[in-house]
Amino acid sequence: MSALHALGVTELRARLAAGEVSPVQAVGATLDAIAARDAEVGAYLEVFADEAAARARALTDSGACKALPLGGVPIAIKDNICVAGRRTTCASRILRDYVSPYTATAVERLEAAGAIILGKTNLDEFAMGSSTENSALGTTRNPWDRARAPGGSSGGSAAAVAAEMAAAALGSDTGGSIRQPASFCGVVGLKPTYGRVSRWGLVAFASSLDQIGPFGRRVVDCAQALELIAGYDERDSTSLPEPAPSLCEHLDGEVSELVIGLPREYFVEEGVDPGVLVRVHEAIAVLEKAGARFVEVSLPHTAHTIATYYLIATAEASSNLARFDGVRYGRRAERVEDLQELYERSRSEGFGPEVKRRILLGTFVLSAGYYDAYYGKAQKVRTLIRRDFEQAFERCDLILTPTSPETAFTLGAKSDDPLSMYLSDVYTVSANLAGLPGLSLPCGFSDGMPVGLQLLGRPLDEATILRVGDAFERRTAHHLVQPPEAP
Amino acid sequence: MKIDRDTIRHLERLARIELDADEVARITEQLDRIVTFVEQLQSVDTTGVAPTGLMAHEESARLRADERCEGLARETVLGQAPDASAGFFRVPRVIGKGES
Repeated sequence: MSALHALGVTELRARLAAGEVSPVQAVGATLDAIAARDAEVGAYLEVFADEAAARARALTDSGACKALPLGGVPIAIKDNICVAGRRTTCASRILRDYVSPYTATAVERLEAAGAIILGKTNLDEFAMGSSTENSALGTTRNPWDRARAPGGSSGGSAAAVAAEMAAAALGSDTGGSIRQPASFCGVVGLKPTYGRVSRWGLVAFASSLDQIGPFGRRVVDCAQALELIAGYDERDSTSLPEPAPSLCEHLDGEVSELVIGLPREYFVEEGVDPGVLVRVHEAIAVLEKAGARFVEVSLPHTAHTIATYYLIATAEASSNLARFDGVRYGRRAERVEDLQELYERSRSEGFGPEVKRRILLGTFVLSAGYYDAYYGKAQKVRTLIRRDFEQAFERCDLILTPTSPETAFTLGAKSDDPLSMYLSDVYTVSANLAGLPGLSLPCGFSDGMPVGLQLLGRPLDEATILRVGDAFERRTAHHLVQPPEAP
Repeated sequence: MKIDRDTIRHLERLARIELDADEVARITEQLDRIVTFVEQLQSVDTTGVAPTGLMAHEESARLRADERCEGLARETVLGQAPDASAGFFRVPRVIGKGES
């Protein structure tokens, strides 16, 4: 029998609902795991040990736990998502002491379902990065190999779930920031359809791309979390009017009537770790044996997705981050003479190098004389990228790709080369540009490091990718392999 | 488009970010490489293609009824400010050293 902190949400809930385990025991075991392991991993920026224990006690005493869908389940939150009365730092010096006056809708919905919030997890500053190394507040290490990065930007949430320091976690995905760290850390990560989950309480990075989603150790855990956090929210006018989908009931292990597309542009040998391709081809064989049919599809504008993404994401970031001015909240520079200097010094001292780089690039592509040639052009190519997917989905029900062209890289390996870091997002950014749901799940190992399989669905069709992911999980044992204990 | 130090100085003013000499050198080189990379988009034929700004559901996004509702309390909001007094955010003098 696995230790309590090693259980997935669904397994843990079964024991809580049966009364075999109390919320105090479930949360206590997870807090113990954090105390024992997080000095090594560095997944959390802040742990709410006392409050989580108190809430677990209250839930145990009230007896309300059994009936709540997530009653007593310990969950971690990426630190760009607000929890009232707690710091929301975005791993930035400029927000290091910012205390949020309200709670994000997604967190509110998890808490209403009985989840116990354990704390806030590390990220690349303002979610800008693919390794969590851009955090100004700490280093997160990959639980599978502490010399390597956990991926990013939601690296803390992925590492917390992988190292059994949370049953599930929330992250945000603007260009792969849930799926790529899920892949690097060997857990499941789901980026829902654009608009599916309210962004009230998520600190904005690139508003036409950002989406909140769950991490878990099982596909079903992500399905359940999405059922609970999805749905219209009057506080986010960009949230979809559709009601939250029912997802878990479709997880029947069947894939026999489905057609899965393999984009030929994604299955090139150049620039892809051969070990990753081997595992992905093995996954294809598993699903084929289960009865799924595979077709080759084409996404002709794939070569332009990274350029399109970085133009749009930085433009929107430069606009969104204009709010950090040292006046209303956040860190203010000292000993300034006038308002201009206050803005300049507060921002220059408060933002780290990657954030400055992106703000300046975004400012450039939106500036007079260059707007049409760069930002306007990228918005048009974005339309072509969306059409590529629309046409591909005429021939298939979902698309299968690697999540990342590589496994987790060594900490520091790409720190001095932003463009090479950007290029590692090649398989994930298109889902954000096209607004599609995307799932990453473990499909084995290459040289001891986890490999992620990505499933992309039609807009609003999380049900199909979750069903296929779950069917794959039922036929394989990759998700059962646990990272080594710290020496 | 070649990104040089003058471009970076101009962007610093627009973005209200001040870089030190080392940062200017590094970011000039990095942004130049990135801009050269993104210029590949110029080769894509986008004749007659409409830009994607909003997703379909946002184009018909609903506004809530224009009614009074609870917001954050003034003390809560000002409590986050680095400097506040008498119900206002406080800033240093606005007309200063002659910034453009």
